[in-house]
Amino acid sequence: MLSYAIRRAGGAAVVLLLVLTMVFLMLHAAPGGPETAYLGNNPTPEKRAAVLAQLGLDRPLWAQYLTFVGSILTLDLGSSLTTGTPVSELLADRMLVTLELGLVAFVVWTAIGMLAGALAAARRGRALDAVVRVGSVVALSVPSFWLGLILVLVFGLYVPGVLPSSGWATWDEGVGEHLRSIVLPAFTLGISAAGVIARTLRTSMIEALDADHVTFGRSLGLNERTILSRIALRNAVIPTVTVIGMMLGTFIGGAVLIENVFNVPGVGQLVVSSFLAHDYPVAIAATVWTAGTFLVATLVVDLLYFAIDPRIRAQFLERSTR
Amino acid sequence: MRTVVELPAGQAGDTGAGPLLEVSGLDVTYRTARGLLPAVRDVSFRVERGEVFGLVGESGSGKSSLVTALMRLLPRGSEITADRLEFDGTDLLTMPESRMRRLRGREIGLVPQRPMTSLSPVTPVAAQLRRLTGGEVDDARLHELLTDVGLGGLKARLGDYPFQFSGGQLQRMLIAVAVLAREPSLVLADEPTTTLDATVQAQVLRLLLDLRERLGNTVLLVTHDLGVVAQVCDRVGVMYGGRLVEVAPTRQLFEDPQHPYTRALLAAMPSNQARGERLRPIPGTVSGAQLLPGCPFAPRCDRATALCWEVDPEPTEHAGRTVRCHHPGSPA
Ligand SMILES: Nc1ncnc2c1ncn2[C@@H]1O[C@H](COP(=O)(O)OP(=O)(O)OP(=O)(O)O)[C@@H](O)[C@H]1O
Ligand code: SF4
Ligand SMILES: [Mg+2]
Repeated sequence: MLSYAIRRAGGAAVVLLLVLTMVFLMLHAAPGGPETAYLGNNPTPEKRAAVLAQLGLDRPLWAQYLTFVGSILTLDLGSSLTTGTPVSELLADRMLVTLELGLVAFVVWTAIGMLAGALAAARRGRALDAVVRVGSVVALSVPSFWLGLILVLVFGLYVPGVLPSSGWATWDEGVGEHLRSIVLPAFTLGISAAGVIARTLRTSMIEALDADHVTFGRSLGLNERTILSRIALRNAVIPTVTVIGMMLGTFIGGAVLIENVFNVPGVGQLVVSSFLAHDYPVAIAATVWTAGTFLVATLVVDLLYFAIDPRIRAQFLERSTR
Repeated sequence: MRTVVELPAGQAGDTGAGPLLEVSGLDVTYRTARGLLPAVRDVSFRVERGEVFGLVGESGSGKSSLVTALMRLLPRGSEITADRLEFDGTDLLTMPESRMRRLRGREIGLVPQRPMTSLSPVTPVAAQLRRLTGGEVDDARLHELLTDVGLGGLKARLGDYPFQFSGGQLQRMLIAVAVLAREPSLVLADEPTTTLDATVQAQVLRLLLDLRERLGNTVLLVTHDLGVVAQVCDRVGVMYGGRLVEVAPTRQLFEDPQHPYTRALLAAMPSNQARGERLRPIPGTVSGAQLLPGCPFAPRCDRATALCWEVDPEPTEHAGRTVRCHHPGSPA
């Protein structure tokens, strides 16, 4: 297990380096360099050259690349070009907001999706099943950006005061206020993933109920509750975890969109605002943090997969002893 | 010297002297994408207490469907109807599901066809075997059961998962929970050895028969292997296209088959070829036979007449057994 974790972490590190490289190249290919943040309109060539030299942007590309990777690896992220605040400080506050939003959306929606999928499979062909099937298709096909705008409109304009449609209340502003401000963004962020999870679990459970071992269990008089909750669910969770892993992108990438729609001061909002302001160090740090979070989350799901499927474990042990 | 005591007819039911299983007019129909598929059609037979009843027939003839129907475990969307489906004098068809569930495993045990997939892949075997015996079994008893089926050496490995055992080992475990743990009076064994290595097949079959000797249960044995039938079965039913085309005591069936399909089946037996007879595969295939209006075997039968194509023969008593054929009889 430990060596599996180490191996997977090694893989994640390589991917992270690739992400860094791509961010670097993209920033250099994009029109209007970071110096734009410093220069007003129509800067003189002299002034531009001076700023470039100050930022080290007149050096060869490979040297800039090494400095860039080095500074990220040593967590020396520099300061914002626009406000002068250290990037690490900026990121620290917003990181917590994004993590909380993502985690709440993930936990709540995954639980709802799994519950709905399992109940639909258990009540296959009945009314509840039909509700879940239709509901999950609707949930997964609604574009979250559009849904977010609709919710902002509804709660901001038509039924104001029910739930805050914009902004983020911190814990200091009261637990109730804080939780209320999470509701709409978290709802929008995870609904499509919940639809996918519900459908996957339903299908996998129905498939699992056809398995030979379920028939054998029934032939020995096991009751339906044991069959569903102990056997079919246990088997159906494996393909569902794979899908949950694939949905992580929605939670982390989706935060970029959703935070902007609901004006939530998280990393996602920072990514957009810093890119628009050509705030080079902030943009890099926010992007890399987002990618890094995604990699870590994927890694956790992979390890979970390893923990719940004894066959994967055995395959790995076989390979590593050979 | 043995004395045979004849029971007065009235007492037969109370003392459980009637047949253990009585089936009459059983139909099993699957609803498929291409319409209704009558997998078992108008099947009638009885299994006497203590006997080994063999069920043979080629792939798709409806053997598993029949066995599964007896336990009322057919998949969703399939239908069972019967004039009579009685186990130990009790009607299985109208029995509420809760009672049927108590019967499963306790009164009727199933030994499955594919041991490799008959335990859940994600739970250690010890926990599953305990669960499958109704959770009433402690470690000591479990070990005792496994020792009894020849798996005494596996004590230390019971925390392992099914895929870490061989098919033969798994089948022994399944037999331990399905046959030995609760000693059901009827054991349904659906091709219990077909997926096992040739060397293991005989051992597993031996185990089933030894247990039967010890526990005195009745066995319904589905098999492809006519050699096994000849060795272990008291009576045999031959299935074709969803029908039970001939039912006879084993010896009679082998010495003097009456249904043309049974004759063809026996002629195709390897041991008959070894005796120098020429290989006689049965021409044609079984597919679609269930849907024919007349005799399901007509397309492949060398005796088929116009009547055979049009009218499905009813079961009749002939030469001391039941046969479904318009023109039964010994080989010319
Ligand atoms: N769940 C199902 N749904 C639809 N059709 C089925 C189902 N199970 C079996 N059948 C069909 O019913 C017929 C009888 O199948 P069955 O499995 O009972 O045959 P069998 O004699 O046990 O064959 P084998 O020797 O291959 O096990 C076949 O045509 C098969 O395709
Ligand atoms: S009824 Fe006719 S076709 Fe069918 S087995 Fe008998 S002789 Fe052959
Ligand atoms: Mg079968």
